[in-house]
Amino acid sequence: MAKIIVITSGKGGVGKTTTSASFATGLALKGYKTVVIDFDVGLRNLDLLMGCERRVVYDFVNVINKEANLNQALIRDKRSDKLHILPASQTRDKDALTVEGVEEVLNELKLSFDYIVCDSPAGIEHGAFMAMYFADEAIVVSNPEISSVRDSDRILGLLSSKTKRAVEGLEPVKEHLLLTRYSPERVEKGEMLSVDDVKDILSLSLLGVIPDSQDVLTASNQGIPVIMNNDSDAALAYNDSVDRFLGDDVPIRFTNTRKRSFLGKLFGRK
Amino acid sequence: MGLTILNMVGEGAGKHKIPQQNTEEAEQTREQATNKEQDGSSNTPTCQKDQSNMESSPQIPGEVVNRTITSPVRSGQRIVVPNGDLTITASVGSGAEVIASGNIHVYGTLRGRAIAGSNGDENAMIFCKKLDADLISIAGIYLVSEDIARQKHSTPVQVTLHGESLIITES
Ligand SMILES: Nc1ncnc2c1ncn2[C@@H]1O[C@H](COP(=O)(O)OP(=O)(O)OP(=O)(O)O)[C@@H](O)[C@H]1O
Ligand SMILES: [Mg+2]
Repeated sequence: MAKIIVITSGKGGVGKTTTSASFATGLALKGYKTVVIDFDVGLRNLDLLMGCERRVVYDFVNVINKEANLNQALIRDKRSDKLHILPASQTRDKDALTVEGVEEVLNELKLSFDYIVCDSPAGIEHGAFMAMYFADEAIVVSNPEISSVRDSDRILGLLSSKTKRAVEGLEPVKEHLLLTRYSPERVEKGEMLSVDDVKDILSLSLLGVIPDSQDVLTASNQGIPVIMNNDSDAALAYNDSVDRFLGDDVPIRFTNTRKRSFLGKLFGRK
Repeated sequence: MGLTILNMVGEGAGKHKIPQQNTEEAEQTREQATNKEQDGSSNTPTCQKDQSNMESSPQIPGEVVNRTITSPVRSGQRIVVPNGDLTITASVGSGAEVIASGNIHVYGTLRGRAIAGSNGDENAMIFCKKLDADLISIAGIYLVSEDIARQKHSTPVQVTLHGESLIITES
């Protein structure tokens, strides 16, 4: 049975779309048929991060409005034939997403995919609500700062009260915390919350910690999800997170400051 | 057992009283006002101070219905127990609001707002494992985060109302 995963946060710019792109790619690389949907109608980004922006013909709203069918709108990923992208409309507004319309599309996708990854817009308005409504699992993306953590708490409250699972009294949405843009150096200086602080505030199981990394921006400029860059800590951390999501017990890494070795200092290595 | 008295009565005491009417400030104020409809306007004690906390809201006759919440109360969520005690076996997030006519027990960190004795019960108490609240109030007398933060409590605490001031006691 297909699983619907929402990537959400409340706060904007914390790394939802980056995570959606890498997570969906990671699931596909493990062999699961995966589709990633951009729910950020009007501010479409996911196609850029996936490097498929030049191949968009139809979008999510077209499918909901029956102006196109799913096969016409789904874009096959260049790198993995297990991965498809359903882009958002850039010209409509979020009200184009209706509960019935979204449900119909998700039900059709469930027939041919293992995982449906929903990239939520920021905020707690209609678009974010639509992205989370049908979720089975939620990855709450948070940065290690107090405002982001508080917004995550708010989203967690909505996940446990406003989703279909909550409203119909089914088993609750399974919630995961993904801490992104983590900088051990800044945590050490007291400029950022630590992993333990955030875990303590949110009382939530930790899916992963993604280090703050220049590679993320480079990757999005190239339209290649960062998880594909095998030399990058951020990619390794995303990979670990996908493994944990799939049930593997992988230790958390990249949360300690790296002590530069003498030789490292000498040769200016990182 | 350390005893800490915050914000003693005096000139400043008035500002620590939650106004019961015409305030644009917080939802919780409105909630209190509605809960208080049987006992209109003020915080002045109308109940005798019998020592029993069992009867958590003397003003409202009717069945006492206590509530227990076993999952974290998240920012933006609001739990109201109109006639009884509220027990939360997890944490209360900053920006969340828990309200009871009787006592409030939090077996986690209290970071949000806790309003006990919402019908004016001055014997109501607040208990929590760790106090880091946005606001605590008993029978309309309140302390905001800034007041609370002046004291560091590393142990579980209980909050009681003595006269016009809230007293935080480590336990
Ligand atoms: N681990 C990271 N290290 C460094 N930069 C990052 C990291 N994750 C995300 N970023 C950067 O943060 C910015 C916002 O990322 P992204 O677009 O994924 O966030 P979002 O939550 O989807 O934003 P929005 O709320 O606008 O949809 C981008 O510039 C991205 O490159
Ligand atoms: Mg985004």
